[in-house]
Amino acid sequence: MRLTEVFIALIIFMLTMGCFFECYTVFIKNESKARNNIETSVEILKADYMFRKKIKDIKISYWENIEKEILKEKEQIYEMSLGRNVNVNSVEVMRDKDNIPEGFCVTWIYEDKHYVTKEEFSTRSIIK
Amino acid sequence: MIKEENGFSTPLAMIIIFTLCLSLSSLSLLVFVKQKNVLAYKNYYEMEKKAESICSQVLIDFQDLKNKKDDYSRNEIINEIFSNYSDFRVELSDISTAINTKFLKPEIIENDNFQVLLNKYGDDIQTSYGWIKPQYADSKFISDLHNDFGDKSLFPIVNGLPFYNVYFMNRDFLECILKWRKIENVNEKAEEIKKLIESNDLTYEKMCLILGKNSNDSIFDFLGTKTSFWKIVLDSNEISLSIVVAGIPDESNSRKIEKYVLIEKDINIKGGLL
Repeated sequence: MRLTEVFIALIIFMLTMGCFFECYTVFIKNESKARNNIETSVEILKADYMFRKKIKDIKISYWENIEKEILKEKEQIYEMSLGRNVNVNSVEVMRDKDNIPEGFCVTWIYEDKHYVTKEEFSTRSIIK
Repeated sequence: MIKEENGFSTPLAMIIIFTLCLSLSSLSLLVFVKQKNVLAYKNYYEMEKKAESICSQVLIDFQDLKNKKDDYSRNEIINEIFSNYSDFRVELSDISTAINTKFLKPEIIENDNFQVLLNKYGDDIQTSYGWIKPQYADSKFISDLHNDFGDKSLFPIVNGLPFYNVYFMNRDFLECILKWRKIENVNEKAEEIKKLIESNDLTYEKMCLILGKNSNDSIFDFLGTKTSFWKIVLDSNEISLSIVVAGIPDESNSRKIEKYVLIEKDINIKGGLL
């Protein structure tokens, strides 16, 4: 093998390797992005599901004073721990046309973005 | 003889291809699992939305019942409710025609007639649903309610709708109430009422005649022909719904139901998030 052939082979090899590593870097970058996005969407869905479940599990008998009971429930939602990335920002009471509380509207933050979960209680009070 | 040339890049290329395949397959596995997860949430919320709309429809269907004077298990409105949800296994029950030990005075519960009934049927004759009448409720319970709600009116929790729908009372329960209210010839009268129930022909007026009481008599605080609380269970292979509907009486005419309101709903998506 002549020296020029070795040089050409080396240059082709280096070019191929360069191309490969460039592609590989792009692939790895996108892979981690995709991985993060998928994991984030599952985390968000999970947090939303947990808030909904918590609100739906609130059982207040129809003859009880719901206004008093929901204050305790509100506190419990603030104290819910759903991982270090999820923080409850506010819990508002949703009311029906008779002004009777019918659910909670929870605003929560996940990685600096605000999300809103609205859910109704599974029980209703009937005293206005 | 063939001379083989081993290029120095061959093992390296193999390693690179292997690494690439490994990371590609791990990524696709992760995407597959997570996508399944996302789809499960999507399906769950879709089913829940469907269940919510069924709840609203059930409540609308129940409103027709307020125009009926008597509620019996197979009147045309109830039949219609059954046929509207033929895709489900439907169970409809009167859950207020039973003894609510929380809302009745201890003196009433301790009465021999009630004790015999409670001993015989246990939990089957007890309920946690029903309206309240101050004259038959524990005074402490009523004062606690007043303290709890402050100036607010206790209507509709406190109202004049009869506690029990005679159509859904068993013979022992009916006799217990008649005996407790000191009605004469309890057996005969209960028999007569039961016969009319079987033919779905019992009305308030007929009950007054049989019992020999006028319609304002206190026995009609207990015996009526309207159901206060209904429970409907709709069950299919995908979802199971349990709804409790309360009949709110007219404030001025306690024997007439003004509207039905949903007080409980329990939605169960079968399989959950799987």
